[in-house]
Amino acid sequence: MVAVASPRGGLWSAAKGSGLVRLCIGLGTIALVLFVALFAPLIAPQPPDLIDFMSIASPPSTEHLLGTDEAGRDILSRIFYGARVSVAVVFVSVFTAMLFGVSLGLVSGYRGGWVDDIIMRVIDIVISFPTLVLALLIIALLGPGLQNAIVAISIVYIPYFARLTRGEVLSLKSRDYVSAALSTGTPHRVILFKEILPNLLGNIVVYASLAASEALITESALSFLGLGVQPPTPSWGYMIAAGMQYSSYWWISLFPGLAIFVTVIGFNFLGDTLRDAFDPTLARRTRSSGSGKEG
Amino acid sequence: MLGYLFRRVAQMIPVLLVMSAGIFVATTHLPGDPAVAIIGMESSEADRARARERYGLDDPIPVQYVAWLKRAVAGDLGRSLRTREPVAEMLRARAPVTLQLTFMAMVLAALVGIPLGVIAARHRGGFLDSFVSGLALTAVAIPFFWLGVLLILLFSIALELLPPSGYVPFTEAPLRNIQLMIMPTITVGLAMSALVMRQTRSAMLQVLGQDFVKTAHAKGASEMRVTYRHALPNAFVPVITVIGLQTGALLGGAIVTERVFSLPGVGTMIVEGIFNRDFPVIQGAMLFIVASVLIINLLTDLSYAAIDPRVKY
Repeated sequence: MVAVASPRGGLWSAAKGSGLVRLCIGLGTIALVLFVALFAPLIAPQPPDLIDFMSIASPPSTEHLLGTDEAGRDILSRIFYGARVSVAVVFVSVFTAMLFGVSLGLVSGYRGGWVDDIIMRVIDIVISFPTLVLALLIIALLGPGLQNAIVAISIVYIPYFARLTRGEVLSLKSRDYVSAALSTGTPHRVILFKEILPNLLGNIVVYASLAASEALITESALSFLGLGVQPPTPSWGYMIAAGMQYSSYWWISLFPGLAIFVTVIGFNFLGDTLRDAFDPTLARRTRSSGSGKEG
Repeated sequence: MLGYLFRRVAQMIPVLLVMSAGIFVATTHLPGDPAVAIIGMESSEADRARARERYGLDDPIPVQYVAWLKRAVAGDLGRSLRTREPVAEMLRARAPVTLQLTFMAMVLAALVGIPLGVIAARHRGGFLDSFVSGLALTAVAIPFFWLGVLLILLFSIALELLPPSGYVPFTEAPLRNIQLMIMPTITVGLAMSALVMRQTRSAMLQVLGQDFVKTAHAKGASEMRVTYRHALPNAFVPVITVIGLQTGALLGGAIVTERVFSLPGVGTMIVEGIFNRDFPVIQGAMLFIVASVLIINLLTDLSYAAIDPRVKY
């Protein structure tokens, strides 16, 4: 999904120095999480729900690298399986949000007029709900569970994709090459998909990557509250909540949270580097004004 | 200024109406028969019909909404289906907890974020800049509820410095209240400190490059004076904007954080409401959150004039 499609300005030239390191960390981390999620049954030391009665809530040891939880299940294995849930929720919901959001933004920005007014007013209202509050409201309506968490997170991010897309479309549709295409009688559908969409894809991918990191935190927050993925399916958020009940066993909460943290860093690094690559002016500005990124 | 305030409040009303309608419609579509929820499982069909009649549950949704809205404006948000407690009273007891937590987190974010942002900007490209920026990068990636759990593990369980959970109103025992709120505040406010720091840094970088800063330097003003008297006030507007915009996120964070520290706030109310399918409670609590966000946005806009004399309404 986050394929590094030949960005204008050159990914490599923009990603020199610290950028290159960041890109590698970002890509590497996400690749690792994907690998773990895909091959969890092969690489996990134990099935996620296998109970070891001899070591209940035992600290990290050579037998259980990250220890066992309050029911005697291997935490490392549960983190591997938990990656599947997190990856599924994040990818499916961000992709769905992107699909609907970009479509709405394209129509809104290109069509203009009352269609634009209606879509944007609705989006203004949805956006004024804080993301977690909106997700909770949707969960309240649909009930707790994995699928509903995906629906909730998708809906939460649709408006952001729509706004971003609409803004881009507004600036792109007044470009000369669009006018040129229009004057030669190119149908609107072709202009939208051949002239406009490819040019805004870069920013969309960047935003998708940053949204993924937020979506992961939202998903784990919902699971943490017991409103997302339901046990016994292992999920990182729920594992943290379970460990909280047994506070003398610090490892139960520590490692799943670390998994979320590392994945979020991965998405953020990826997003930041891609942004610099897709937006050469920003990269140049940032570099001329010192290291680090703006706002 | 007054005219602007009036216009802004007038604009808030339709938004609030639409959002309250959204909340109402969403919660009335909860699965299950609300009549059963109101009078209990052991009720007869006749009792249920009477309850439906009494609470207007058979009326069309728009009619129900208008009736609900009328009562809500009069301060009657219905009663909890579970405890029979009036929702308005629940909110009165719980809102201070959530608002205090949000406010303290906001103050923390400003107190930590602004000075660090200034330091990073002054040492642009240097070690301090990279260090502070690295801290910020880490802070935004930490799942905040996990941070809360870690704080409990460290400061309550291992070091036994702070109480792990519980709540006392500030008016009853101020010191104890602050002691109990320290960890929740850090949990909610840390990520926002990082955002405030980034915004301060980039706003300061822009201001520091401007002519009046060079003039101040040329006049022989000290580095400190140029930074804090000349440059910083001019960087405040974007920083305040970020703080205002993030407050909604803070409220969302407070909801989850209340669960970590067993604080009896609006967030706990929402989560319990969802588990109990207690729709009057969810409606009332959500309405409170949404209204708070709108009011904070308004206050943010108004604060621009106070910070920047050039802003006129």
